[in-house]
Amino acid sequence: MVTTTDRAPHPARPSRAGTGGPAGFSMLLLRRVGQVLFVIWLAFTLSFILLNVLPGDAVLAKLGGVDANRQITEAELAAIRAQVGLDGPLVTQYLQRLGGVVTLNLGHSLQTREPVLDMLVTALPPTLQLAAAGFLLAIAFGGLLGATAAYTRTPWLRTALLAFGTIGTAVPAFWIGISLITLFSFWLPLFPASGTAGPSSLVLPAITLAIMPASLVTQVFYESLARAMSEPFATTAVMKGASRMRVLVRHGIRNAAVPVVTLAGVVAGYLLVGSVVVETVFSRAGIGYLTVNAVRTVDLSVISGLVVFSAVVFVTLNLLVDLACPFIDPRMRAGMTS
Amino acid sequence: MTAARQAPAPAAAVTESPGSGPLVRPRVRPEFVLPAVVVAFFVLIALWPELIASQDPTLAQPRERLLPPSAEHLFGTDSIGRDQFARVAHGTLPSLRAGLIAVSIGLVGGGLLGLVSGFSRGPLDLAIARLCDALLAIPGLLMALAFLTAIGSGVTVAACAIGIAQMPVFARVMRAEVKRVSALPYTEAAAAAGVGPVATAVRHVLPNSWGPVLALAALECGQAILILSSLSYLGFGEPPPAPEWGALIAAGQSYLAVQWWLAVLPGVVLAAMVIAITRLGHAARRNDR
Amino acid sequence: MTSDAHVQVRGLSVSYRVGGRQVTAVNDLDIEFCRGAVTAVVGESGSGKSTVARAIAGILPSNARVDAGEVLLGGQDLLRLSERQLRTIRGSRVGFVPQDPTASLNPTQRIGAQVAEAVVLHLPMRGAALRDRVGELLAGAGLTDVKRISRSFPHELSGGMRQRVLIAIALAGGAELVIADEPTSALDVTVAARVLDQLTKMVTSAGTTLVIITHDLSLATHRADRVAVLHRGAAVEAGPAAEVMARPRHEYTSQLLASTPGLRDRRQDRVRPDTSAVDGALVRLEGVSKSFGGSRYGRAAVAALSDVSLRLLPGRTFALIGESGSGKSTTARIVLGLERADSGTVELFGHDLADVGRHAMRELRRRVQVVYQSPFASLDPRFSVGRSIREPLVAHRAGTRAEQLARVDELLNLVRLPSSYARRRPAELSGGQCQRVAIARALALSPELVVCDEPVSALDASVQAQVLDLLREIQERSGVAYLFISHDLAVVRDIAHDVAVMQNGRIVESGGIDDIFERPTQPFTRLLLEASLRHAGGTVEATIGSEG
Repeated sequence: MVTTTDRAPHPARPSRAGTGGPAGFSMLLLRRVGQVLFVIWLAFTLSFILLNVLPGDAVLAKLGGVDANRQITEAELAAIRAQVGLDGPLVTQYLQRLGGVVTLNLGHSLQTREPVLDMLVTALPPTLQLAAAGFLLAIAFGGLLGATAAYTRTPWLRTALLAFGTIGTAVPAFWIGISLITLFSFWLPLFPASGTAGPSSLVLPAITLAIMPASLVTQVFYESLARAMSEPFATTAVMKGASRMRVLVRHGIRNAAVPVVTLAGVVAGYLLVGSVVVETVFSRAGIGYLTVNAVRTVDLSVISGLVVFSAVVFVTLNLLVDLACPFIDPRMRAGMTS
Repeated sequence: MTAARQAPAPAAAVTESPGSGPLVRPRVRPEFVLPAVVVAFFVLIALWPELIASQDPTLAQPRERLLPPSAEHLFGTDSIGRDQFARVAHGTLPSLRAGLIAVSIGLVGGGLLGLVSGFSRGPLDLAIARLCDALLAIPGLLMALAFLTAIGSGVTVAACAIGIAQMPVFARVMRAEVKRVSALPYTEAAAAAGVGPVATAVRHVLPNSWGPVLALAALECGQAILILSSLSYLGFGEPPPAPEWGALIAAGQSYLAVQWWLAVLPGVVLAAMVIAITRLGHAARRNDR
Repeated sequence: MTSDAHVQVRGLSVSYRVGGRQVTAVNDLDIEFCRGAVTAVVGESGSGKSTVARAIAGILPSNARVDAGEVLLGGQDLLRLSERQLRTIRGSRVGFVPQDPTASLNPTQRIGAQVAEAVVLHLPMRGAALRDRVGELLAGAGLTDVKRISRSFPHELSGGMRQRVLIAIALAGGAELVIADEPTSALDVTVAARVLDQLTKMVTSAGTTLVIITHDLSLATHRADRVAVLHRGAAVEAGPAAEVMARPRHEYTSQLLASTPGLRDRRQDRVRPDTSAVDGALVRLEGVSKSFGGSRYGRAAVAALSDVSLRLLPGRTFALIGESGSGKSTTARIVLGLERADSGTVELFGHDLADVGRHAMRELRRRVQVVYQSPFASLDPRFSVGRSIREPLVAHRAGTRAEQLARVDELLNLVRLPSSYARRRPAELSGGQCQRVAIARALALSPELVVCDEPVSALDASVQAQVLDLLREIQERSGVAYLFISHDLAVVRDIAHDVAVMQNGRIVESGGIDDIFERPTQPFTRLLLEASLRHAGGTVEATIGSEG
């Protein structure tokens, strides 16, 4: 035996992915799901501390509809606490609410007495539409710009494309929305400035929402593509006689995909929050509108439900991203197949 | 390719050539200068808005309402006749201050978490990683809204909330840098030379690992300013007479059809400041490599 | 060997844009490569040898510029061709074997697809015919079980296998010229020898012109028909290999030959400390084992060391040789107290480390210092050279400030650096100078043992020789002992008194340097020796084992 010193990497060597064999994959999945649940619990606990332990007298006064300018009595405070369910020992409250979250009961709105889950479910469809449109736009537009910037050998074109990447992350979404309304609703009346009626009402909000994530995707995709194109394996492909376009498409994109997919998880989370601003600008109904309204009316239950909802969305998306990465880069599969 | 290492060797005993000058002295580069000048300008305006805006930002002159931009009123006047340019100039300080508060909290809190995490292994490291995951799952804007709901309105409250939301970002970079530098031979050599773990951390690990964290601070400062302007736009900023950029844009939105400049021009100024701060961060990050 | 020039490089000048100014890498270079011959282009880092290879292949980095000259392939100037014309030449007429087999294959594509791409870009093949051709090419490069390899991803193969795949790719289009840029410098010595054999066998049987770019003079001299020596971007010498080696005409070639370990005359004047006078060992390892990994989730722990025993004696150099992953660095870290052994006894200066408290450990550590492989990472970039050297003195409160500064001066003197260097930063020094500073720091506390972990493997040959001479000289003067970790047998033979050969975490053979090198008893030791000689092109006939 001579080749002892030139061993192929052993499948069972320790790796990030864990143990070998298909059992390893389910172990990995189980562990990641456990992690996800733990993180959601932690996010819930943090929001509980914030919203149920910290509320000041002024907040309570506002909740109870008492004029905050005058001194309110302890008795009044106690009454308000009892009224909104903030009385009793904290531990009991915490366990009750935690039990609620587990059984998908997020409590009732302090203002409308409606179940928070119902409010979320009602508000979700328009926001989901908006976020999905924004997501597709961001990936398509950002991907195209990033790939063009990596492909071109004209310095000024690359600089211009990358400048979009910087500007897009520095301009507030509400300002983009306002400018778009000025341009395409008032000067050129092409799209409605507000409302949720029909597909045309989705155009401007979706563009507004997509600008920031699109510029992030441009930056990240360009950087990872440029890195892939300067790797030795790209040189190998060039020396086979492949064109620059072929090298980019066949060898660059897949190797540059992992950072972008990872980013997609973050972007999808952002879209949900970005909808808060965009829905206000375009007077659309949805999660964002619900959020702003809840803050205005100091509806602690709704806010707490939104925080948990956001954590669930964010963590689930990132779990999906984590599970998708091994399918893009086989090196991450090491140890999962035997 | 070590083409740069070809200067003639002065040392008699050694035939190799030392590294050439330009690699050593960090030169002041143009990509660094322009954003630095712009940021310095904004800081100046934040401290002394009178330098460029002589008019009173709160003085209403009903006869001069909704004027278009002119030599006297560079950005025009608003619906009750206040000079918009003066309002924008006076709005610089609250924006910048709130951004700095947020990023200081993120930098200090996140930096400390990252340090502890980077120097420890096992359960503590793991616990901090999970805490960061949980914090990351609540975006900055939502965190700020939750704080505003629970504790009451105020720019400082919002800034603190954004700072807390930014902590995990700083913590992760700090941790990675500490782990990287701790594994370098010169850190190990210090341990072998008898330098204690605390001294090694202070003398070798910290100075060589906070560069990327500081560069990140500039980027995050820009983002904090953006989120704060969004809050102000949504009406969760300082109460009305205060000239905050987000609120200015929100007020101008009602006049978009005709007096578009009221909403658009403050946005341009805001974007210019955030771009300058962001470029500064990018330049610092590149310099650090 | 035919004598007609297949490739002619005439008056080639290439410069790089570095920090706003042009730096010349290749200056008015003339070289010819003969048809069907193997030519080695030899030079140290910065000599421009890789730039030449890349200029011929047309793959210079974007900050490089061809200032003048031509590269004629069969009368056609490659530097004047358009990108489109170059594409038809690459792969079909010019093949390229890169330096780093790990990074040079697309990690997300199966091997079969990557080889097939090299075929279909020049030949209209598909389906079963293409699959067969890919299998042929892989088999031709010396790979067995080609079906499995075709379906594998690069990370599932070893370094040697990957380099064979890259050779198959380079030859897939029937290239008449193959340029190999340091093709084996990333491989272990036993693997490198076999890969090189395969490459030269394949090209010579096909009548292909082969250009090997290398820093390794011994490899060049014995494997090539012709040699060209590059120095500072110009060819200082070129001619038939045997002639250049036997009668170098240029002073630089002689200097290079003299400083190549293994090629230079073995020093017979090495001081042999009298071991009989020595009453105790500095370090004693007895049955030491260590494993890594192993976690709650049932991962298999990987054994890094099993049952390792050795003794280091004062004033001598003990070399630990082996290939990557053999456990030599883990052994060094255990001696340094940076890792703890899982089982077995570790004794430092007669103290069992298991019974040593924190304070005593600190005192023991003072007597063992370390020099690392990477010269630039060994020094804190923010510390001046003087501060780095002084650091151990400060940590142990050795003397007053003035005494410490005087000691720094003395140490700089010892490692042959001017006193003025104390104020410099590491970035202002070359690799060899950084390594001298690292040695000075290691000697600051006058240790009895210095662990040298591959101290010269990141350096050019001529600098290697200087650093080795320095280490030897310091030993003769101060009687310090070295634990010298290396994969390079030539270097070890140059400096060591005792040697232990490691394989898979075990010591397979140990003894005096001459015993091991002249009369190896273990098959692995023989294999290692033979490979290093075969790598150098020697004529050892004892073939052990077969290709696997």
